Amino acid sequence: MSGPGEVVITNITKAFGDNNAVENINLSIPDGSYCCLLGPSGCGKTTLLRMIAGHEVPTEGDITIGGQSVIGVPTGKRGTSMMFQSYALFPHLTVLDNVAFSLKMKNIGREQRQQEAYEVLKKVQLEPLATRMPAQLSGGQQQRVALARSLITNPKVLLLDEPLSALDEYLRLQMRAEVKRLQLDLGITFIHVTHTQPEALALADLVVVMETGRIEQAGSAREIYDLPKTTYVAEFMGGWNVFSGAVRDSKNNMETLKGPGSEVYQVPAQGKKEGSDLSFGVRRDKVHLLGTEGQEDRGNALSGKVNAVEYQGNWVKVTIDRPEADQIVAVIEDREYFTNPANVGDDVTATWSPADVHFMEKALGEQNLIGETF
Amino acid sequence: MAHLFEKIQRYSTALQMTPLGIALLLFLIGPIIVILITSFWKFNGFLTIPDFTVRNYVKLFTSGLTLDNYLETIRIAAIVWITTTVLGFIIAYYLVFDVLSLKAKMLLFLLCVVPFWTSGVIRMIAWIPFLGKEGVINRVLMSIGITDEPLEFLLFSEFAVILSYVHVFTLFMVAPLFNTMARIDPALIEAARDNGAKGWQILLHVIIPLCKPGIAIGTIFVLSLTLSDFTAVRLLSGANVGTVALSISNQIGSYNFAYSSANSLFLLIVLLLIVGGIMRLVDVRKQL
Repeated sequence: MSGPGEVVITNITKAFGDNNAVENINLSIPDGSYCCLLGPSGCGKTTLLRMIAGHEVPTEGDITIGGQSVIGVPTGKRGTSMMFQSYALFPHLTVLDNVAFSLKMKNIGREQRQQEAYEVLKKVQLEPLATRMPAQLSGGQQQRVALARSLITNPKVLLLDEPLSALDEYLRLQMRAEVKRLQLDLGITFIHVTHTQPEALALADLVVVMETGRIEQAGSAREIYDLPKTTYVAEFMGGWNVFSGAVRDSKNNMETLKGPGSEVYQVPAQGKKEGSDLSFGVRRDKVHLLGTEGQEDRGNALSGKVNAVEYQGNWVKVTIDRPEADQIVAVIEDREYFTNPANVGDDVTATWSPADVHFMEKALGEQNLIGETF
Repeated sequence: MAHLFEKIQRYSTALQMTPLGIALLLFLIGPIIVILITSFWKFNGFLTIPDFTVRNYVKLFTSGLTLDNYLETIRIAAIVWITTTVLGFIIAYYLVFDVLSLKAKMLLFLLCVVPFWTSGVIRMIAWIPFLGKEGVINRVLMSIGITDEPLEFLLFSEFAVILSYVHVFTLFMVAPLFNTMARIDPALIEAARDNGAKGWQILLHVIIPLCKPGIAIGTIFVLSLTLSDFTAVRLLSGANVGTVALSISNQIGSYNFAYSSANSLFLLIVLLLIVGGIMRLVDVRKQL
């Protein structure tokens, strides 16, 4: 028995002309969970959301909400409500009438719908602004009105299309916490489209990383960040150094990989044939610099020249250039870094333990968007 | 030199407005003042004599013909307004929401403008061979057996006048409505649907309210054109219709400039009151 807000997406494809915006997606979103669809622009996340809302019709496949197929069910009768990126408030109606709009469409009497709208406005602390017009409100206030207008329909699933992207940094963090609080209070399913990695990690029970119409990985925030399945996910989420190499030899449960340049990596044995290619990552905060206090060769060592140093308070980000190879980024605890600070232009050696190596599949195609958030 | 430059800068706004000011003064304010003065003059049957008399106004407000003319004019204007608004709304809606490609949109919009390549008078006269007793429409109707006798009401009637107005003025309603409708954010329509609105509810509660400024501007165009035109009435009504503008034209034709001035001025005031009323009801500035 599935809950009323469970959303199951089966083999969904959406074609625009010859292009598939969404290609054969399967996803199950549990009732009452907070799901973030995360990906760069053009990855199909908004199209998927709009298909759940009923603003787009899938070319193939099925979507069920609470166990009932909603294909062919009109928008507004699916138990979903959508919050638009631009908020889409009716400019000719007051805040109160905007919120009460859906009740008016159901021919509920003026007094009752105003009373109900006041109740919802109270929830988002906008009661004093009920008689204002949308144009007289700030961005944050407009967003609360949009939220109230969605909530008054008592949705089983709330769909949010980049709800925080139009707000400034400070307001964004504040609203982020509020949206999460609200979801916990209401206990309904939230599906939230975003291109911002920390937003997805902070909010979601289920993070769905998308790329060119496909799901790269779906899982808890911790799985997505700490155990990325592909190099794409690791690079998109940020926080990882991604390497690849061919198996050279294997002994004592350790394998030696040979990189495309002269570099050699020590990794836990995978039992792969000699010569086969492997991709792996090392989290930036697991990389240390030789010469700082307490640091010795941890089994892997690569040298290079410091390209940039960014002080971030409790940690320092050191970017290291290597000749004819990708950069390495080390995120070092501030105390450790300042025992022997490296400056731009210095020659340094980065080191990490084979135990911190995480294997992943090589992503298909080229990636152009790399997370730079951590 | 620097001093002069500073002076010019100080008055730059006034200087920039001067050419338009002069043009308005010469071609708008000036003639109205002339009409205002003339309206107090006297006409003795042959000559218009400078004077200061309110006789013209007394005659205007006591003549039964004035009321008849105004009632007739308002009736025609109302029918034309309702027809052009409904037609204009449908055409604009079609162009904005149903024609998806921008190229087709522009092409169809240009097609609406094609009739304006000929003069308004010719467009009105062009109805005569269509609507006449031996005209195209009557012949077709008789040949397919819908009527035995030619329909008399088609030409030289109020119907013909209204038809030609609708034909010529609908575009003045389409253009501002197209402009307002094209500015409606498609997300608003989706949001309305998301809130459970059906097609007609979206039309009634979202699209029409948001089109108000366009309807207001179109209304100002259509009403001022209808109230001030006399050619259609003269050419197509067959002396069956008497409007205010036609009576003014007739008075000018009989050289009664004093009375026609008073008549014109009153029509201008009526029109300004209507425009003022519309501006009060709808915030037209949003469109400018």
